[in-house]
Amino acid sequence: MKPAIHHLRNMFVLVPALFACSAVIHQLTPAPFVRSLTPKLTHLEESPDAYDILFVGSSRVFRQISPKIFDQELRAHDFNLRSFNAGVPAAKSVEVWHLLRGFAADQKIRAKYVLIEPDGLLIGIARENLATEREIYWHGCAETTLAIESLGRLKTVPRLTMTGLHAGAFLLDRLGVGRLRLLVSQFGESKRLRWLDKEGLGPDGDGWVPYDKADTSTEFPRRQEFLDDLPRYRSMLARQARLRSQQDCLTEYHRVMLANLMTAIEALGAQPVFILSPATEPRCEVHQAFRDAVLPNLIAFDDFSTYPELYAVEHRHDFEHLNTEGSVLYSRLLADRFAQLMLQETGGGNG
Amino acid sequence: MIFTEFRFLIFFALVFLVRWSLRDLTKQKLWLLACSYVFYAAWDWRFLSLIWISTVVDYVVGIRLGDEVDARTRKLWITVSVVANLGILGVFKYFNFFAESLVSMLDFLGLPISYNVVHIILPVGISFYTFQTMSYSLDVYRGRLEPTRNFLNLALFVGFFPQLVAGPIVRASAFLPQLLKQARFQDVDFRSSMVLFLSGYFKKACVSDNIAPFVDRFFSAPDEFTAMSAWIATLLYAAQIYCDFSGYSEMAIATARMLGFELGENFNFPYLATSIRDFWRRWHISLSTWLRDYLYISLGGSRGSELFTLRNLMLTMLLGGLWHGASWNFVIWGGLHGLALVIHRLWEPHGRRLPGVISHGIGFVLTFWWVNLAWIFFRAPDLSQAASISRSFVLLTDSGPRSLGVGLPWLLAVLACLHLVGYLSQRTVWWRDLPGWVFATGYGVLVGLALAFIHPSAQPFIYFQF
Repeated sequence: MKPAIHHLRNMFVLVPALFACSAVIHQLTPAPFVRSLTPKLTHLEESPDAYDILFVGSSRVFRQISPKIFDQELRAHDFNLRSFNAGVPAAKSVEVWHLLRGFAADQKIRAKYVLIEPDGLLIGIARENLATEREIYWHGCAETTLAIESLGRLKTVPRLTMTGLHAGAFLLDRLGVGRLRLLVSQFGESKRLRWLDKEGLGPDGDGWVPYDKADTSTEFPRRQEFLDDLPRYRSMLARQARLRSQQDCLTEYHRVMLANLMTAIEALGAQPVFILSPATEPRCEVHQAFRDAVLPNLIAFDDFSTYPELYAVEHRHDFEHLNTEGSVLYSRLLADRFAQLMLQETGGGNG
Repeated sequence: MIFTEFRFLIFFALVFLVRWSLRDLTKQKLWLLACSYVFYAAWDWRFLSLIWISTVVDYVVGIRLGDEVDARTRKLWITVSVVANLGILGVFKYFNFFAESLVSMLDFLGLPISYNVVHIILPVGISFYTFQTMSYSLDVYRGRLEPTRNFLNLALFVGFFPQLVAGPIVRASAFLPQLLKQARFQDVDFRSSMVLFLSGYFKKACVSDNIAPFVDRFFSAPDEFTAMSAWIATLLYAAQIYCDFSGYSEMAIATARMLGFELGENFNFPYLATSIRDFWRRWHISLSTWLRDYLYISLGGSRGSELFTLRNLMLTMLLGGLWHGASWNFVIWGGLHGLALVIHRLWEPHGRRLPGVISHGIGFVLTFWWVNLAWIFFRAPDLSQAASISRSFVLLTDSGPRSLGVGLPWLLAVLACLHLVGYLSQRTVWWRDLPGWVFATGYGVLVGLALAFIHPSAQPFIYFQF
């Protein structure tokens, strides 16, 4: 068995050497390019004082909030603020937390208010994002731990599978996988063009890309599914009120996650404002967090009876998202509610 | 499951540990066979049945050929093997190609018929294992090999996972004897295996996969690009396919070596060849020797007039092209290589009069240029696109205004330098003398660097489609 012991001993040297090399690469290289995120971050870092308000969250933010409309509406309330949509499709709360912590650590991005939609407190990994930079980049140690904790309510097999996927993404991140690929891809294209891809900032250059303006070929089934099953949509709306007022949805994990988000926003020197978009499935844990004073504020639109126009079929893209007309309407209503909130807090306009 | 995937690492670790902990030779072989089938089933378990059919047919044919002395009956049995293997290949790989070609020909002759394409899934590695099993029966038929009566040995020869899906095409005469004796753990050259595996991994994951987007960008719309871009894209494709396939082969050879088996060499710096014949002694060696031994020689080889030899050369390369895929593009690719071999054979006596340096220099440039021209037909999506790109490549005429990327010639220069360094250092084994911990540290650092250049999700190998 002598050769086996010899090889085993060498493995104990090889593995730490591998991780040490990866750690150096990880430390020295920028975060990998993520199509839906990097152009926005690059833009924000290049104009750190240009915006007072940042919108963060998933597609519910990215697709549905027009900063241009929002700012216009705020100006009608005598608030002269500029906002930017930093939403990222399919971003879960842990990913948003990672981004916010990054903003605060780099001190390159500043804001007075961060309007955040705490989306997806149960952290899964979409099939299309498996083993991609899109999913790997936010898997730091703390983020992975939180993501795995979020799976607590799942059954054993899916929980173990998802845990393995998160652990795999963490490992790929620690190993610095793909961190130097940019060196090769730069041979074929201009770095500036890629990292500050103007298309990634949307038609108005403010980060908003509505569904109607985006390449939504992959989203088409969702749209068709919605149009084909309007009775289900109506029944979902009918049980919205009951779901919203449900008790005991707020777990310890939710409390920790929401507190983390608030801390990260405050570290940025900004004030957190929690929002809930006009979704059919209300997030009862967020409502309960507000009722239990875990959250300082909440601007919620997940109420069909209060905002029927946001739930009109002609304003919807699918069950959970608005189309362009709906988004414009929502951006205005959001600005109105936000202005009311500021008036309550400050008692006047913010010129 | 592919060699560059993380799950392969886990799979191989398990295979390796159990294989070397088992003491009994039969149990070792059973374990390796079971693992090989699991490896294949990871793609599509249904097609395991084709491997079994091929194995059983050639096992029976081998024994019958061994027992039979009557020439006619022996011929009948070898026909069974050839028909069974080529039948499997014909149905699963070439059915639509031949049917569509027939329909086109009838249409051309004014006899139009309607035909609906039958959607047949191409089983991974079918071209490799059918050729491998067929070579076993052909060797037994020719009396070059004793038939094995141990079914397990033949099944492992056909199904051994490192070479199952993309070669090297192993000969039974080289592999079966390795199954007769117990390999010893201390005899395995782990260092060379690890170096070879990392070299293959680097070629595939760091070079080939990173070049692929540039090549795809050009070949998806070749009519939009300049002649310079056609050159760059073709040279990049030459690098991509070489790194992809030779990388796979190196990983396969290294994996097999760690399990105690030696597979033959498959590549030997083909782009440094000084003639087209030299190229085929260096490129996909296991296939070119297979074609030589079982097709070219069966056709009569050079045992006839010069014209007869040239015909055999051409036929061998045309069929070799068709082996790669059911498309006229591959046939033309084979034809271009066949034509070059024919011209080379005719020119060779005159070329000997030139000084070695000049003939080698001219030979290198012409061979490299021709091989690249042929790659256009190998890669282009259809014949009209291939014709358009090759026109741009040969006549240097722009098809459109787009440029593929100003930095890419530099990338090609880097790759050429790496290739040359690889060639000059191929016989260097200084790392053998390093202390264990130094080797392990260096290896760990190199793996870390390689990982930084890879795509996070493993990309399939080009040759899997063949």
